[in-house]
Amino acid sequence: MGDGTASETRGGASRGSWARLDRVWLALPAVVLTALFFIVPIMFMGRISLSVHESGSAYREGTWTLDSYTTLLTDGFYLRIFGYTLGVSLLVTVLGLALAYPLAYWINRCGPRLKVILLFAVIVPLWTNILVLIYGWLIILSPGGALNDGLMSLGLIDEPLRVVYNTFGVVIGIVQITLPYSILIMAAVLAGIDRSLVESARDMGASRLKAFLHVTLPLSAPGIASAATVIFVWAMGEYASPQLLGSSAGKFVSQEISSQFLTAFNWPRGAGLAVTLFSLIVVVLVVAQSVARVMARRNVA
Amino acid sequence: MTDVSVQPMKDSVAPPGGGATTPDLEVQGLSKHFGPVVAVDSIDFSVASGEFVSILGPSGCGKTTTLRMVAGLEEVTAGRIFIRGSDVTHLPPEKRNTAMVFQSYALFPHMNVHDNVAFGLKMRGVSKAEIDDRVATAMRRVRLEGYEKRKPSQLSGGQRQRVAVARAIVVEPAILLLDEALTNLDRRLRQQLQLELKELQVDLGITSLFVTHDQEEALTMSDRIIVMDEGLIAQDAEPSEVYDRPASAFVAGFIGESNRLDGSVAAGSGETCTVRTESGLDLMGIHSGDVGQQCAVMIRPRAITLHADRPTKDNVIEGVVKLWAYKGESYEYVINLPDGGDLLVDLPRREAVFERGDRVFAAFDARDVIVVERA
Amino acid sequence: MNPRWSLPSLSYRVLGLIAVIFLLSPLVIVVWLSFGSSPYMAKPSLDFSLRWYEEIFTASRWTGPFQHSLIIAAGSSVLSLLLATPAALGLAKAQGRRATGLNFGVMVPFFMPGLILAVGLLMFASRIGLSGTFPGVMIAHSLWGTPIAYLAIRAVYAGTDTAAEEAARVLGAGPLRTFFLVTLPSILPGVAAGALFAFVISFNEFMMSLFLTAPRTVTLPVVIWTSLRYEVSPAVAAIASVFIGISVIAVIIGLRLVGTRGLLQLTAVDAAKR
Repeated sequence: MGDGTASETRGGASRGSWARLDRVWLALPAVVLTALFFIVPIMFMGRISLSVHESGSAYREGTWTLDSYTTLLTDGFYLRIFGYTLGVSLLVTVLGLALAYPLAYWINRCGPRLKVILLFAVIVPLWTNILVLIYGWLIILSPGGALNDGLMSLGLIDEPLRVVYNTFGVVIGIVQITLPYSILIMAAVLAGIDRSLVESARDMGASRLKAFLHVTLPLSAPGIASAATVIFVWAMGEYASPQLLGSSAGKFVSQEISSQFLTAFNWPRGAGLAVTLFSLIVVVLVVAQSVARVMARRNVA
Repeated sequence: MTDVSVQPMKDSVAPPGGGATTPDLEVQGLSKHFGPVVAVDSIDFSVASGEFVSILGPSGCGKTTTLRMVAGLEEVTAGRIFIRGSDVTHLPPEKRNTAMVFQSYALFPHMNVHDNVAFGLKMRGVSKAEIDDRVATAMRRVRLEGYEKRKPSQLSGGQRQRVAVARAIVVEPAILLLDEALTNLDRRLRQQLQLELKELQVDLGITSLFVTHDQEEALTMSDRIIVMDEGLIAQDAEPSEVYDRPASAFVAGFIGESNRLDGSVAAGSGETCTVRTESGLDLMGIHSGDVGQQCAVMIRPRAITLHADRPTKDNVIEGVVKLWAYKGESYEYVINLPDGGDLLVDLPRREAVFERGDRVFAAFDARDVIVVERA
Repeated sequence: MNPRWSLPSLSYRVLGLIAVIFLLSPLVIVVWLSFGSSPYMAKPSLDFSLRWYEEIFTASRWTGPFQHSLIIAAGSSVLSLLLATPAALGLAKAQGRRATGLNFGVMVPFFMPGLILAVGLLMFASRIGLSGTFPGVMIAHSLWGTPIAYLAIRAVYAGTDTAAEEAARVLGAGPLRTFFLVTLPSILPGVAAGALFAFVISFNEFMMSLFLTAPRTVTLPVVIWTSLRYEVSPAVAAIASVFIGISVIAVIIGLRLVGTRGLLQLTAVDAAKR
């Protein structure tokens, strides 16, 4: 089974043979969970988004209309919401990457002890409830909070800065929530980069900075890309940060979906918004996947 | 011959009649297809009781697949497998009463050595006292007494291999299957374990089927060698016959080094024949084929001698020394032939007196010229 | 000049330190505030008090949801394991179209924001009577718990030697005995890590809980959410600190189970799949 006999043994072996039934079907129960509680609800949602709204009973069954989608496309209110969501998501992605990369790089370069400490600092917030993180930022950023207090007592500002209940607060919140993920993704990709490539670039006389710019950075591009995807997709679906750290002037799609369902009780419109957001996310994931594939091919070549 | 009393597992079908003539393993028309790929193509062979048979071939020839089908780890596409006379073709592996030594040893990492070796006996419901007894015997056989409490990760490669062997022989299988069992060891250890394993096999009289890609290993250990190529059996014979009388150009090329010259039979009389090679040389060899038949001539480098003056031998070819290399026991010469081809010659030290550029005569006997049919 | 202190190598350390400070500052401030005595959500002071901890461990508006959260997280992590373990065993070493498709089927809910799942389930769960029940929320959380446990177990199982299972079969163990005697012991770290991940995810999840719980099943994060929106009490800081403490413990256990490398790989793989 050594060198080249892989095709002989690994290819079709181990599975199937002694279990008579192909082992991959062991995954069926998990897939059924997905089908029943994800696919079916999504289809259900799609159907409701095409129903007529009826005040008092959420939607009228058995009716067909495109109303909720035409409203989305023609009403400037909804277009603005989508625009704001995408704009903030983009901003968060750029800031998040800039903040994450140096730390990911550091995690890969430091000694084992510091590495554990840094990983701890990254994973603990990752596993902490996002409401707790947002609460922490509320305390820091609020007009009478720690940040303004500190800056004022240092005499740097006279008036409290408006750093929460606006776009700035939302950006801070989402960056905080997504940062651990992007750091870990990039750290994993950086760990896979062959150090000898960087060293040989250095041997050939490249400066530390040049070796980084011409070797490490291009090789870490796949990590940057998948981290960007994670941040962007997460931001698009984010609900808690804009609700708690933003203002009513800047609404995220999720907030509008939630208020259509829970407050306005307009299920067709809420479902229409949800289906649209879902489709946007799928598009982003598919595009990211194909970009990743192209990059992988280029790196191999 | 054997002090081993084999108890067939309770679920296996009792062999019909048994008897001394029933081979321990018989394979009939065995095939395996992976989708469109034919890995094993309707092969037949058998292994007699107490026999050590190797399946030898390059990677991808179907040897491991064959072994795995015998073990029950791979479903057969067609054909039948009999172990001690009973049809096991569709039995799951645990009901076949075989044991297998894997290339990776496949020890259970979370169990200590004793529990690893005892595993098969526990599965067979053997009493604890008997388990301890038989494990101790097996540990002694592989010379690992005192290592019972160790975890596999605390053993060296050679020790792990011995544990794997102990785990397999302790259940006294109807047939012992070995899949590249020595390949992962370094050369010196491998040679030592070849001898140990062979000794153990003879002592216990265990019927064994051994898969390897290493021709030297197969020659050293086997009572019989089955050479496989592209899913087919190229030759099934004793080691010396496989070496001296290879059935095809493939076998001759795979086992030992040879010089190969293509040609056709020009004349034949009784046992000997003359082959005219494509470059126009006439060589005498042993063959009883028809005149005009396409054939390949194989000559072992060891069978050739070099001379400064033309000797009287069955075959003499003139050439020029192109290269030579020191090989320890011997010198390897590359002789450039008039037609541009090369002839590899392996000379004992004392005969190696030629330098690059020397004109030499390469000579060899007719009986060292292996003539095989060419497709 | 020592290269450690050259400008480029200093710069990534400084920038990395900024990221660490950014990541940890909300946690630090929350814990600090929780030990204060001020009844308002404000800047932390230097007095020390445990009154808010006393409140959250005695007042039923906190203890009830805390129990609900534990029940749901435990149930969801068990359900996730039951689904994820066979899936990981079936797919870890498989290739081909079918395996890719099934893998996608297991993973896909993981890519979805909680709100989309929550809204879909809200409409659907009420129809089949799961709305507001413990099983309903457990199943909802398993949509994330199953993929993450699956990733953990798959990663561990992929690193084991298939031949060990085959050896067991040849030595006379049937499929079930092989699973319990050979396979399960070798994937145990992955199963434990998977259970931990699924538990943590469920314990922290609030979006689906917000839509799917009723007062008798409401979870702690939902209570925090309500409290943050309508009347902020420093008791929230104490609750929040409990969450942080649980996270710290979980990370320590995680490090024990799979080590620095394993944790880095698993969390990164899981994040990359999102």
